Amino acid sequence: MNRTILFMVLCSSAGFSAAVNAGDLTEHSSQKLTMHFAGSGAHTLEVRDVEGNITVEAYDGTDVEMTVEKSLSAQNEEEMRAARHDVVLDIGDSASTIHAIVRYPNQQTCGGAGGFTSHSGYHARYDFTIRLPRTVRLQLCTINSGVVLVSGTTGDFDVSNVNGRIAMTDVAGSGNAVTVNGAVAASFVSAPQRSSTFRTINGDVAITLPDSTSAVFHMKTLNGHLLTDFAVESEPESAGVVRESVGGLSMIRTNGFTTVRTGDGGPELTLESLNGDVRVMRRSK
Amino acid sequence: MKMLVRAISCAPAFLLCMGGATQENASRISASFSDPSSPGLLHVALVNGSISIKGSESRDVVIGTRAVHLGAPKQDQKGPAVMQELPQQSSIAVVEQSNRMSIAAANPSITTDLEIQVPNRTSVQLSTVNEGDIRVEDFDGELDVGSVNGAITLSHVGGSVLAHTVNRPIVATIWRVSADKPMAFTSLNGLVDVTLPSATKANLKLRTDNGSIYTDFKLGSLTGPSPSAEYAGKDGPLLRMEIHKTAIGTLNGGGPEIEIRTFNGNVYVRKGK
Repeated sequence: MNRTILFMVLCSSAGFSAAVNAGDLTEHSSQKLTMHFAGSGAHTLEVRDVEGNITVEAYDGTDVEMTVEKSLSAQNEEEMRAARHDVVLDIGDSASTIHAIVRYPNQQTCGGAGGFTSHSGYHARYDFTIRLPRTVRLQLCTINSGVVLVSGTTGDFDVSNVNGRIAMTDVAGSGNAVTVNGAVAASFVSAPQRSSTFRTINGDVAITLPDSTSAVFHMKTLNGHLLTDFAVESEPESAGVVRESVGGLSMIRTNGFTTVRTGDGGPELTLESLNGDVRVMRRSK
Repeated sequence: MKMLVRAISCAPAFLLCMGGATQENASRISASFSDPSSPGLLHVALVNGSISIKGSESRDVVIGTRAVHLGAPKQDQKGPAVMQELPQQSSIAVVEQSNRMSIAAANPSITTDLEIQVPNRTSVQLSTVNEGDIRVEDFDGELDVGSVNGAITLSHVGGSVLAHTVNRPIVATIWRVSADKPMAFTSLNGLVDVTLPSATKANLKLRTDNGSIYTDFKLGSLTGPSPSAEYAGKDGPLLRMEIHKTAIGTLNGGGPEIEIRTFNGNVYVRKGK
């Protein structure tokens, strides 16, 4: 554990500071961390939040500079004590992966397979603001009341949200950006070199790529439009067929993606919404 | 906090729903009846789109969806430039149980054009509403075909046929007629043109309200349009005069009933080979 805590403020404001709901107790704290990678292999930043924003910005340094704003709100003092005791920010560095993971007792962390059931008596919000080396791989996850913002990174990415949008600006690399309720927007300075997915249920999906991009786009929406200003040609759909069998009933579903190619084709980029438009735009425009 | 829990429980379901896909080509998929040795029943229903059926000696049903055709660029209201709107590829769901298979579009608002190869001797039920016709060719089995705004074209089909559309014509060429099975070809606002094998034994019922009836068959026991009368009215006896416009006749001594009828258009009954 080689991190340096530069600054920490704990502000207890029972009954006085602005509360989420009338009668709530709130408590705020902030900490600033500088963390270091170890090893010469690929470096990864893993942030798993439950409630709050994750903002990541690339810079030309070697360390990860992380500011964490923690906000607790509770119905009463007993719940506030429970919040302080239950919710833990697990931080680790001096390894190839630097992580900051919000943990609740007996709960999956963000991205876990078992889902998450929140405590009814308190909220624990963590807002992360991070500066990191440009090439670091990203694993970012939040669930509620937060957005995920990424700018300037060139490493691969795995970014997920549930109730909030994802915005990636001037990035490179390949990966997945998936949310449920919110838009997904990503602008690339160089196109993904491997298969990548951009998906939401409620919101627009928009990616911006260099004009010279060669790729295959699989695009789909239920209530919205599929739009591009790239010169594209239709491709046979190959995004897949789902076959299921239960008892004596068998079911086949086609995924219904519109597949087009730009340039000579290449990495398969999947863009999907249920209620929203899907756009693939040229960067020069 | 219920919203949070609901949203999270939705996320894995969404991923599950979208995941698990194989790399099978979605534009041409194959489906089997659970007992291919017995004739199955195929039900295909579309709201927007066309259905094209071709008979085959294969045991499987092979379903093709037509590739998307790119349209002209247009001004995007939200985007920064003139954007091309891409048509959405249709998605279909195929369900089979107990030798009964159904095919439907996952999103009825998207026009879905299906081209299906069907094993002969299958019972086929087809229905469409808008944006497409129904075409069946080289098929031998039972057909029950209905449309609202689509034409029905049956080419070189054998077996029994029930065909009905509202606003378009029916053109059918039948090379074999099942014995003892009645058939019907009816439209409201389109002509009906049926070619039957020359040896067909049937009782024909032919009718058009605004058009003519043509045939090159020799009909036996022909009874043409005739007046009839019946009593109706609750306030006293009234004489209602009704002119029956149905021509009834026998083919080759008679047999199962074949009704060929429209309201606006001609009726043609042609002698095939």
